[in-house]
Amino acid sequence: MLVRLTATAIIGALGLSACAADTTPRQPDLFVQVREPDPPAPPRLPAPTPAPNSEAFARVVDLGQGVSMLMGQGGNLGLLTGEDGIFLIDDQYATNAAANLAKIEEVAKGNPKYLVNTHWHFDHAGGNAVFATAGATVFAHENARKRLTGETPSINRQGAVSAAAPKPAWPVVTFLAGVDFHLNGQTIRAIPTPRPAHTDGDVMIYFVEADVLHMGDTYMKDSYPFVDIGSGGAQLGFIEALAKAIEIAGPSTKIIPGHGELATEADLQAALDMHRGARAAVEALVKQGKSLEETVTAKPLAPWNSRFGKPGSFITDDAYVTVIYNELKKS
Amino acid sequence: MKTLMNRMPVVAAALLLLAFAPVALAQGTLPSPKTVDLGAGLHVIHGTGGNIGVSAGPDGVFVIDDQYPNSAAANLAKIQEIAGAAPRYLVNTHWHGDHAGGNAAFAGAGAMIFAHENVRKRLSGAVASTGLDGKPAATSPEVAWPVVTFTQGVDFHLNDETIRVKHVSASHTDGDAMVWFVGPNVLHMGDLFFNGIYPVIDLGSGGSVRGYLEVMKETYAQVNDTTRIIPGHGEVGGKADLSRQIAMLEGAIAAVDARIKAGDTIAKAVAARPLKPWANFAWSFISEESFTRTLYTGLKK
Repeated sequence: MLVRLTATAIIGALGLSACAADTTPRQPDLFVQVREPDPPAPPRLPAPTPAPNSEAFARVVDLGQGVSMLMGQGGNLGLLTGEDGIFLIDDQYATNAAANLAKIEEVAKGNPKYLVNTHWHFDHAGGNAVFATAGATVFAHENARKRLTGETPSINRQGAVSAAAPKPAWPVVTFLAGVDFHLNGQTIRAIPTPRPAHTDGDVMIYFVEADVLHMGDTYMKDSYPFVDIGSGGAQLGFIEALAKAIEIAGPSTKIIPGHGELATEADLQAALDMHRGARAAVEALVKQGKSLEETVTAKPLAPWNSRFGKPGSFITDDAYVTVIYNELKKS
Repeated sequence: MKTLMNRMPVVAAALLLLAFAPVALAQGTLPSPKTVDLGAGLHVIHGTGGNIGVSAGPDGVFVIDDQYPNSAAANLAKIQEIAGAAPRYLVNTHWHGDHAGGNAAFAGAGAMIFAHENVRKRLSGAVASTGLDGKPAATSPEVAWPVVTFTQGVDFHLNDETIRVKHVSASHTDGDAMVWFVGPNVLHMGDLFFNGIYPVIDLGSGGSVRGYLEVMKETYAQVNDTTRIIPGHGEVGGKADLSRQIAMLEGAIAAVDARIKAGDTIAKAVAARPLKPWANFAWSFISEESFTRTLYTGLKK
């Protein structure tokens, strides 16, 4: 990594403003962690990120064949334009949905007809109501809908039940095993993760002909993952999701991460190796009978910190160790 | 279907011949489709091909199947009359021309078409299908191909209703789906249910005789006494009608299987009339003899 990112940049890039002070009416309580970092961990820097604002995505990264990645606050969007209808992956926040919609209309010359949520979090699906009202049919994993409706309660960072989304935001078409779209010369596969990863309703989306894979939050570039246990997520799921993604991807596949810059199969492989290595390292300590505190203090993720745990990262190595430790103890 | 057939035998028989050749043939004016109101915004359109299911409501009109190309305009008009809008979502129960033949017209009217992936493969010709005449079946223009495909199924959440679309294993074809309106307990079985008449088991589209019986039995185990079942062909029925149909198929399979086990050739098996006890299931499109041949061929496989 040539450029060292500041805490602000990382938190901004990861769209983690959801954890900042609550100033908006429907503050998304997405980024659930099992617990605050342990006492031995260095204190986290205060997150100076503003709450989600009303600004549209700022950058359009052209990926060819009508596919592009739209970047701004919140999760990265995937867009496919063409005569058969505009296809969109994710819609960021409720607060900037109107601006995103207007800007997409400018870029794509129309409103999205098809919208797929990679998962239920409000920095990815927060714009659903606005986009649905503008004519989009919203597709998602069945569990994403259940969390948006509140049918399945999701536990937020404060340990409280997250508020449900308003009815117009609920996906209309849901699936468990995935669906394919055949549009604008592309075959687009919505592929659920083999098991719960970031949440229990994650979907990866692959544009076959354009060779572009949107990972949702099963992959955030060069960051430890956010395992949202309060939404049914699990660390083991990241290992299987990335293994599946690597099976789908080839050396020239363009990888859209849930957050962060465009990536490659090699980046996914590095993340997969990290996840596997991290699990094995923590497991070794668990087997030695170490307590959580001892395990965190032992810094088992040190070999990966230079790439995935840069200072000021939202998900610190200690936080990730804690998640893995608790998961291994449970199983 | 039998009453319908009696009412318009010539037109119906001619159109049913198109069932396995989804080609737009020039046809004369068709009779206006007949509709049945099932309540809760659900309607059935009995027309010239497979039965159409319609769910109407403020979130959009949901339609199951669309019959023939040349009946599409009349059906779209009827849907507009019933539901007050054009279809937004359309599900094909399978690829045959008497169920998916109107796809191009419905897509043109704004419908988003959903189907099992094998429906798309057979409509597009990516997988070849053989017609009842033994010749390669015709494919459809791209505009008729489903845009959203699935392998297992999808759920729709529309008009305060949950609509489950579920793929069933190889039976009538290899790409069949059934549609269940959960709240009103109405099930559209597509061509897994011909009410009171011999079914079509399309061996040239990946269908299976034993698979067909298996799916019917599985479905029977899932419905209850209040379920109303929209068949692919025939009048709306219930569990008892499904039971009668299963009994016929089970008996017919056993009878034909006995001929095969006795070493009969297909000609000898047909001559023995093993389906005689169920001769009243014959209709203009599937005679006792042709169903005997289908069962013999399918069971021999």
